[in-house]
Amino acid sequence: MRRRPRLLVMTAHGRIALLLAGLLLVAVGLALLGRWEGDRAVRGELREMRRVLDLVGPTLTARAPSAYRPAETFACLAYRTSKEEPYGLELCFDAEGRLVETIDRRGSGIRVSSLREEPETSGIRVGVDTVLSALRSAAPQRFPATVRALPIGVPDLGPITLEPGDAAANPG
Amino acid sequence: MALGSPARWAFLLAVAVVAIALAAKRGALRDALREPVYLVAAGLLGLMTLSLAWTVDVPVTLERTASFGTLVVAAAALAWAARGVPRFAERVLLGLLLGAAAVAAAGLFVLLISPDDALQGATTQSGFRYRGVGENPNTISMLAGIATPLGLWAAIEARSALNRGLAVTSLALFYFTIVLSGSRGALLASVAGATVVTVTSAPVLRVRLARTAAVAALLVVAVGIGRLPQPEQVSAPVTTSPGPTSTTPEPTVETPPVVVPPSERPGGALADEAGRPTSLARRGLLDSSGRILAWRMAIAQANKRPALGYGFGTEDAVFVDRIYTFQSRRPENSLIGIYLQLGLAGVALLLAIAAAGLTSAVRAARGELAGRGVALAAAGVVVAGGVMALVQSYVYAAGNIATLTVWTCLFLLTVAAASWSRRSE
Repeated sequence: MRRRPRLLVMTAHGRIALLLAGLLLVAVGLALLGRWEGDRAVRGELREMRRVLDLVGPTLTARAPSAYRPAETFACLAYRTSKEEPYGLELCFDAEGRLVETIDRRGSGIRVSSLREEPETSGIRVGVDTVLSALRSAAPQRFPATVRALPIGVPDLGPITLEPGDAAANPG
Repeated sequence: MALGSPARWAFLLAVAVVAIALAAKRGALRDALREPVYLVAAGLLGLMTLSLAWTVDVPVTLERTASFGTLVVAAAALAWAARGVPRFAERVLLGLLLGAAAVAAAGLFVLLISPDDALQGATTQSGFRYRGVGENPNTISMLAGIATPLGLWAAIEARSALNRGLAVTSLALFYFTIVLSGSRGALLASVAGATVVTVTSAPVLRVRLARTAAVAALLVVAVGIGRLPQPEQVSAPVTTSPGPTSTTPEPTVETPPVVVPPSERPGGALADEAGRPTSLARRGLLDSSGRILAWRMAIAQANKRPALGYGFGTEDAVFVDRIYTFQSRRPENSLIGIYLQLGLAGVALLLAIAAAGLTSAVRAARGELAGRGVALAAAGVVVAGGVMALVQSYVYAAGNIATLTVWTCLFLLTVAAASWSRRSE
């Protein structure tokens, strides 16, 4: 029987050390992969959210919002895109005015892009004042200048219309 | 109804400490990692811990990894303590059975003293559903479905009339819970798990067939009973037409207008906009309760981070239920849930654990084990748990009522197949 070269003979401790080193390498590799994948996903969401924001316009007032939707952790502005679709585009902002979710309902199905689970990663900061301006332009009585915060922290009960003539359908 | 949240974590920790002490007494702990289920489970826990590096919610991942890790360690250690000692495993299974039966009996007690708490009201798509002491109708019924093989095994192998009576009572409680809950997943899981026990429980084919036929008959009866509760009727304008001999038309009778909540208005709650039904037809036996759509949406979301997911424990945070007919914070499928949390790496590990468990079940069924009945009862629980995992997000949730039972039986099955073959007792 041929003897193995001396360099390849490994003690039990050596084998354990090699195993641990291998595991550490795998762990570091997985951690890097996970972070890269997360960053890539965030970039994808931001790209899509910016596309929807561009459709509405950065000031949010190129056209008046058709409705707003208060919710627990964000508030949304909806925009009419056709006669049949009063909420065709929707932009949602957190309390700091960061764009955290967009919904595109044009055509069949809905396209949701969201960073609601990690809003701090959203690099699209529109600003609370800009969002309030848009709300004020559509409903000055409901959002007077004294209102300084977005309608956040309430259960999501659906859109509240801002279009004239629909007040009876959505009192409040 | 909440079931003492802080106390259960303390209890889980206590179980883990005792189980580790018992396993240490049995010795050779390092050998556990030679068993595929133990090794892959360790890998899964490792991946969960590693996901702290990329999770979208570090505190949640930390907390869920710690709680689930404690549960898996407790289950693994408890099973290891049964290495070479089928009688110990038998006592563990009887303990799990009694625990499940106590929960089912508590539900019945609540039904008797406070029916409103024990029942979920009828909706426009389904009749009333029994939930006992559970959060919803799927909670306790899930435990009942998974524990059914244990009740069947205990009834078959009981050595006294009293024990057989207790086992049959447990089975009756489980059946009652499952049937009145209207939980189809629990019903399927219980039948699958019970079938494992019936087809392997007796050496004579005729007896096995008779027992399996009895399980099938109970399934048919359960489906029939489950269709009895009627959905809520929606008030609709009712008109009466004049009789053929009448010359004066009767006035039209209309019901009062229905007050429509905001979420039901045209446009609706946009948070629930997907899959809105076009009619108020009753849910059929084979209709999905919105789950299929929830799965598709969850998979589409998970595809955004396919390799490693959003981080363990974040399923509730990242899955958003936008579906009209679906009411859950999770997609209710354990494989899709783990795909969301740990990506394909997590799915692969979970499937590897399932495959190792099934391999052990086959070994137990074919082998000459000292505690074959105990091993096959555990196999029944694992099969029932596997079926349940296809319709519930739970196998990785330490807070779920059925998780500890399933993992304990999985490890017991592995230990049984590996160490009971020499008729050690």
